[in-house]
Order: sequence, then C-alpha cells, then structure tokens
Amino acid sequence: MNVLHALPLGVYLPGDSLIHRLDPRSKLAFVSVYLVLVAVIDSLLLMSIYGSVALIVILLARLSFAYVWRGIKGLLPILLLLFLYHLVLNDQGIQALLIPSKLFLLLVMITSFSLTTSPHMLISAVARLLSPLRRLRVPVGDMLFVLEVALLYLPLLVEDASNVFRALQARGADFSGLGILRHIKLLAPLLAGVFVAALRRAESLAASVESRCFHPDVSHSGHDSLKQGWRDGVVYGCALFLVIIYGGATY
Amino acid sequence: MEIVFEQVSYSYKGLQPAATPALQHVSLVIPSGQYVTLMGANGGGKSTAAQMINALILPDSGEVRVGEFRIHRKSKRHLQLRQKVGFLFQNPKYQLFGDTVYRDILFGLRLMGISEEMMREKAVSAMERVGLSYEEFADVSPHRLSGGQMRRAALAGILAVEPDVLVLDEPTSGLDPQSRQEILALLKRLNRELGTTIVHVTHRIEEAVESDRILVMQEGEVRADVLTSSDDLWAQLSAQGLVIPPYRQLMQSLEQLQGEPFSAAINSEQQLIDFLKMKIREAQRGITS
Amino acid sequence: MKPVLEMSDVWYRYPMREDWMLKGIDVRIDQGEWVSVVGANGSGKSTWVQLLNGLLRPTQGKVFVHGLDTSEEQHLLKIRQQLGIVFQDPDNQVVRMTVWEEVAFGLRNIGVPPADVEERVNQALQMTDLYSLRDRSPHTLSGGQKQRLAASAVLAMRPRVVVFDEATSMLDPWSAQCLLKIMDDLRGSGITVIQITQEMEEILNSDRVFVMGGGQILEVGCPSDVLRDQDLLQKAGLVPPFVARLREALAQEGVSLPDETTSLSEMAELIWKSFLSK
Repeated sequence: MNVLHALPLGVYLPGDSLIHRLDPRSKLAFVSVYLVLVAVIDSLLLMSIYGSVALIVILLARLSFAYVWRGIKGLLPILLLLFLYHLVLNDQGIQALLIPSKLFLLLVMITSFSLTTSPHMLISAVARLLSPLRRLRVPVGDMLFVLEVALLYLPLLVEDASNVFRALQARGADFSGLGILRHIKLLAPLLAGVFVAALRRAESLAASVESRCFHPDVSHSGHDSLKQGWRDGVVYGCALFLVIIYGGATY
Repeated sequence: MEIVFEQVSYSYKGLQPAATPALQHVSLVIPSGQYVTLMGANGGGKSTAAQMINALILPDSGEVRVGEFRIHRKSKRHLQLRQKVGFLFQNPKYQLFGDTVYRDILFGLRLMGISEEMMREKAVSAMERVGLSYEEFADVSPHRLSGGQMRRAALAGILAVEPDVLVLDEPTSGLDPQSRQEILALLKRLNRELGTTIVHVTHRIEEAVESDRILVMQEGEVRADVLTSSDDLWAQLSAQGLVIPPYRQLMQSLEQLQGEPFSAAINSEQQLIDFLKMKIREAQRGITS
Repeated sequence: MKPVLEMSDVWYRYPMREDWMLKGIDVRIDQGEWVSVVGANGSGKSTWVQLLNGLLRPTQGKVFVHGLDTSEEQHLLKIRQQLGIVFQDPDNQVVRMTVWEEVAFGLRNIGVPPADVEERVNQALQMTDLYSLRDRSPHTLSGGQKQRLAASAVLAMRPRVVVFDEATSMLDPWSAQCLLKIMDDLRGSGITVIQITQEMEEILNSDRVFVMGGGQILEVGCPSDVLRDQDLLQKAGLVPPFVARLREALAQEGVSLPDETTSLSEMAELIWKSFLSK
C-alpha cells in the first residue's frame, strides 16, 4: 500500500513558475489539443517536435525531472513491451518507436499538468465550463461541491483502505505470493470495508454541512475568481500552432 | 513469547517528511506473560510500535523479535507471526468481515488448517470467553452490535486462533464507562488465566494502572518505564505530563497535609474511599472512647 | 423571554421502525444556560441532538428554536444559524481546503457579504486560538485542533446556542480540556451551551443536567443533586465521578461536605479537618 504514497501522478506540487500561474482553462485546452494530436500523428518528425514541446513545458514549469520520472517509471515495462511487440511481431519499425513514445509523451504531459494545477484550480475550471448548464436545471453546484469534498477526502479514504488492508493482514490474510484466486476472495472484504468507511464519513459530513445551512450555488472559495490574461492567450495560440504544424506536416 | 525491540527506528512515509521520526532507536523487552500498557500523546510512537509487533509496519532500521520471529526492514511472510500475535484495532469495524459474528470468527480459523469440528469448537469457546453467548450472537451481523459488543466480537475472532500475544490499540475508546470496565476486566482475565502477553495502547491512566507495567512514549522515544507496583509510579507518570486522576490528586493533597504518606497501599478510587471511611470510623471511636 | 430551545411532548422513531427512540420529551432551555445532557449509549441522546436543528423532524410533538418550529422548511436556515452543532468526530466535519475557508463556509451559505465574512472569520479564529493556522489544510491538524476548528466554524455564524455532541469523546485528555475551556468562555459571553456527554466529570460546571435513559428524560436537576442520586445514575447506566462518590460515601458515615466544595484541595482541607487529623 505504500506505493500509493509514492505516486506523483495526480498530485499537485505548489510552485511559482509560469505554468503554475496560468489559468487552468487554458492549460486544459492546451493539454487536450496536445493529447489528441499526439494520438493521431504518424511521423517521427512530428513526434520529435511534440516531444520538444513537452520538454519546454517541463522546463517552463520548473519541474524536477526526477519527479516527473517517478510518475512514469512504473509504466516503463509496458512501454518496452509495446516497443517489442510492434518491432518483432508486427514488423513495423516505425510504429515500434511511435506507439510507446506517444504513450510516454501523453504521460509526461498529464503528469506535468497535474503537478502544476491544484485540485482547487481544476475544479474552478470545470465549474466555469459547466456553469451554462445551470440554466438547464442541472445541479452543477451540488456536483462541484461533491467533487471537491471527494478530492479532499481521497487521502483519508486511502488511509481507510490501508487500515482495512492491515486489518485483513492482522487476521491472517496473506497478500504475498501470486495466489490470484485468493486475492480476489479478499477483494470483497477490502471493498466492503472501504465502502462502509466511506459511507460513515459521508453521513457525518452530511450532518455537519446541513447544519451549516449548505447552499450549493453560493460561491465558495472564489471559484469565480479565475481570470485569463494575455499569457493564457499565448497558450491558446500555442495550441493553435500545434494544430497548424500538424496540418502543415500532414497535408 | 518474549517481545524484544532492538534499536528500532521508523519514520512516516509520505510526500512531506514528518517533523520528528515516529520511532527513534527504541529498545525494550517485554517478558512473556506480562501485561504492558503503552501511553503517550498521539503521534508519540505508541501505535507505531504496537503495529510492529505483528509486522503491520516494518522498521526502517533495527529489529523486533517476537519469540522466534524476527521482524525487520526486509522480512516477509508474516502469516505465522500473525497467528501468534493478535491485533485489535481501535475501530473494530475495520476488522469484522463476516456477515455474522460466527462466520467472522471462522474467517481467521480457516487459516489454521484444522477440521471443521475443531474450528467450531474454538469459535464457540472464543465467544464464551468474551461473554457473547453463542445462542444469542452467533447469527447476528457484527454491524448491528453496540460498540462494546463489537469490540468483544472482534476480540473473539482474534482469540479463536489462540494467540500468545494480544496487542490492543485503544480498545475502550468511544465506549461508555460500564463497557470500558467490562473490556478491561476481560483483558485482565485473559492475562491471568491464559498467560497471554498483553500490549495495551491507551491514554486513560485509570486503565493503565491495572496492568503490570507502563511504558510512556513521547516523540518516538521511551521516556518512562515503570512497574505499576513500584513506589514512584505516580511521580514518574506526572513527570511525563500525564493527567493524574482526581482520586490521586486528593490523596496527594491529604498526604501533604498529613506530612507523610498513607500507611495503606491505595491504587484505585474505591480503595481511597474505603480507606477514608475506615478513618472516619476510627476517629469516631476515638472520640467516644 | 422566549426560551432558546423548547420541546413539547416529542416522540421520535425512525421511518419503518416500530420502536420509539424518544418518548415524550419535554424540554425548556433559556438563553445563557449551560445544560449538560447525559446518558449511556442507547439512551436516545444522539437522536435527540439531531432533532435540535431539524436534521430530523419529530414523529410527534414539536421542537422550537427561539420560537421557530423546526418542522417548517422555511425556518430551517434561521434555526441553523441560531443553533450550531459541533459533532463528535473531528475528522468528518471538514469540507474546505483551508482552515480559513472552513470557517467561512457557513457564512457564505447564509449569504453574508464578503467584507463581513472576512471580519467574522478572523474573529472566530481568534476566539479559538486558530488564527495562526488559518492557511493550513484542515487534515493536517490534530484532533483537538480540528474540534476547535469545528467550533470556530459554528461561532462565526453568531449562534445563540452551541451544541457539543460528545465533542470530547474522541480527543485525548489535554485536547478535551481545551474544548471544555471554550465552552466555559462561551457561557461567559451569554451564549447557551448544550453539552452532550457520557463523562460525568464534564458536567460539574453546568447549570442544569438532563439525565436520559431509554429514550426518556429521567431527571432534570443541578449537577450536585444528580451526582448524588446513585439510583438514578445506575438506572441511566452512568458511573458517577470520583468526587461525587466520595461525597456520598462520607455522607453515609456522617461526614457531610458542603455543596460548594468542588476543588480537590478544598475537599482535602475539609477531610483533614473533619476526621483525618484526629
């Protein structure tokens, strides 16, 4: 269970770089465009261009390579496997290089994004994007609140899972060894335990929140305070630029 | 089974390093059959130390030995150890997995590899031992039990596999006073009748003084190690900043006024009350005679 | 003067259940009182708390908070502003990323203007000595600090009544004392305190004690009277604190200590003078 502590994927590292200070919406847009383009490109040239873009992002965000590496190294075996598969079994040299590289770049970009964007920012971005839905009577306020609280309690739920896991171990459950069938049988009490723990928390939270006159559509902690500036404009421009490069190289 | 900690150190894992390590070069010996209480502020290391006894947490350096078992940074395969060392978590809900009390007890017994009949025997006797009658509780879902009953059900599940050591993390937290007394009495009985070594983590002094020995852990170190039969028990406990129970404070005030300690050994509220009642009667006889 | 809390002939049972959790509860609490509610597990006190601010509506009977009926939807906002609750579990009350935001939460919900929010939050944080921790993430606080945070969040709403629902039961002794001190300070400033607890030691400073058992209020009285009544306490499944038992035992032997002596050193002096020195 300690592996969960070591995962920087999905974790936010506070910082003061250029990238940290950008509005999450522009970053979201850029990353989305990047991901889509990387997925569809077919040439090594484009791959190296987009690869350098990722490098620039990491440098601008002043992220330590070691940290990004930690988020990715777990998946290296899969990358290697893909590489060999395409090289040996499919006999497509280029694909062998492209496909694992695509996965690699995807991961790097996602990791960089999450390392530079706090959950709060992310939810603010989502909140702004979804706000027009309010007119359609979609309970956006409620959903966002739930999302925020879930994110806040995620580490606690992980701890609950860890406790249930250890309780199982204390009762003699053996997770070492490769008995897959045994693992599956133990999954049920593990999930049940986490579920019950989560429900208990939810019940307490509901009482606490309701007692403080909860109102979903009130502005909490300034989700409305997002403002885009000229730097974000530049980011959108870069995203456009990526598309243009793709268009230019392909047609 | 003797428990030995030898220069055990541990620090919390996580993204930010903790201010103080959880355990710093802790060494101690708990002889077989002793009833030991671990006290100290939260974060002081007592829960961490407790969880090393059955290898739920592995030391970063140093070694923990439980009987013949050795627990260190790289040790694996703790199944056998965990049959010998039972662990009761603070929140019993984490430990109750069966849909009925009886089936939950069987969960742990299955791993012993004994016959169905023997399992049943052990399960029933474990339930009797904790005071949950088979007829009444076997088919009840553990989650429908009251706090005290749930603790006992979890304890039954642990006792059924007949461990030599019992580690309990704040077993009376959240219970009403009567249930607390019942659990405590049960633990003392287990220690006396079965000779089970007991390691009891708590911050209630009234419970701690019922054990054989108290270890106070603060900031990852053992700051006090005193037998409850010792003369300077209370001096050592208050030196550690532990809250002294009211009856003790009253005793200390009275002894101060008297200028000398009481002749009788007084170790509980009731004993002090009885002592004072006796003194009243003596004084009254003194007046009339 | 309107009572701050009134319950008349309240009965409660959970939907689809037949057994009554609360039976015929009549309560009247005035502004500025410190009321303790004691009872063993299963006495109904946890259900009782949820009826205070409309989390649960009575099956029969009515609950009024400063004259407002809790079963009427339109009053709930005002009721919950006037009566705040600090719950038992320090971990499961927090919903915001920083201490400051957590205290502001309730205020934003009821529509307090931003400038006032700032002032009231800072004030509430000062009251519970948490101002220096205002930018911390709540989950990095200790149990005792989290309960102080919960109290802060309630106090920012400027309630008439603060309810502490076994708020000390999951804390270590030191933190429990801190919270009790806050209750004392509140009473000093005219806020009504309703303290639900199982620890008999904690009721000594209250004005009145409600003893609950089996879904009913068995007795209402001042702490010293309640603590003296061994039969009552036994019926309610409660264990009287040492001082009460001592007083009772001494009284049985003909030595009575006046009610006002609550400090241990005072008791020691009296005992010494009465018989020990002879």
